[in-house]
Amino acid sequence: MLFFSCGVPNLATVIPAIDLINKALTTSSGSSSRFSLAIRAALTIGKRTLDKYHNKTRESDIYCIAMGVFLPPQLDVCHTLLTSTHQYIVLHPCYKLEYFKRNKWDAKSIKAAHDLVQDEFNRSYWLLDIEGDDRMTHADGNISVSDHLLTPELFSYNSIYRLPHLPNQQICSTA
Amino acid sequence: MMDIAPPSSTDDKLQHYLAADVEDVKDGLIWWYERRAMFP
Repeated sequence: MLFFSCGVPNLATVIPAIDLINKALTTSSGSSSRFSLAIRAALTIGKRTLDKYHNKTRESDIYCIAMGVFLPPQLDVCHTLLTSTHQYIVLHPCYKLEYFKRNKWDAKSIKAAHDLVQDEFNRSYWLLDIEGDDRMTHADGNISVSDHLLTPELFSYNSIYRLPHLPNQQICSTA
Repeated sequence: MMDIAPPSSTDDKLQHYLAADVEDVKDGLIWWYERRAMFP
């Protein structure tokens, strides 16, 4: 839980943290051998509260792009909620579309997640080619970019980078 | 000068990004910042 109070969590870390807590609550609230009825009831209420906040994130397009659908498979509402918060970390290099494959999403759902990001890319970034881009291609196929291009002004072209710079963050252990 | 790998299609950086293997990255924002020249 310290995660939520240690600095400013970014989009790519909030939902996984919620998922982790949700998983623990789900497991524990159903474990009659480990917890009494009263404790399990409290855990269930906590899970409902967590779900409420989780669902609120679908109101943000940024979450739709940065995050991915993470619903219990039994709900089977992935298609209808692909425009919600639950799309998972397509723009996080650690996940991309692999997250869906690992969680055995069907091809249609994976394509829907891809198309959502593609549509946003086409709408917001496609035409943002940089004037005076003087990239050079070397004989080895690599491209060099002049250091003077790496300016804050260039960097700010993409609105996702308008987020404040954050120090390296790690999900704090809940143990 | 900074060397970066060329995208398969300079017209579609998103496809290039998605086609590449996932990486063990803890801070996605730093990853994007370091590749801002390739994905401006």
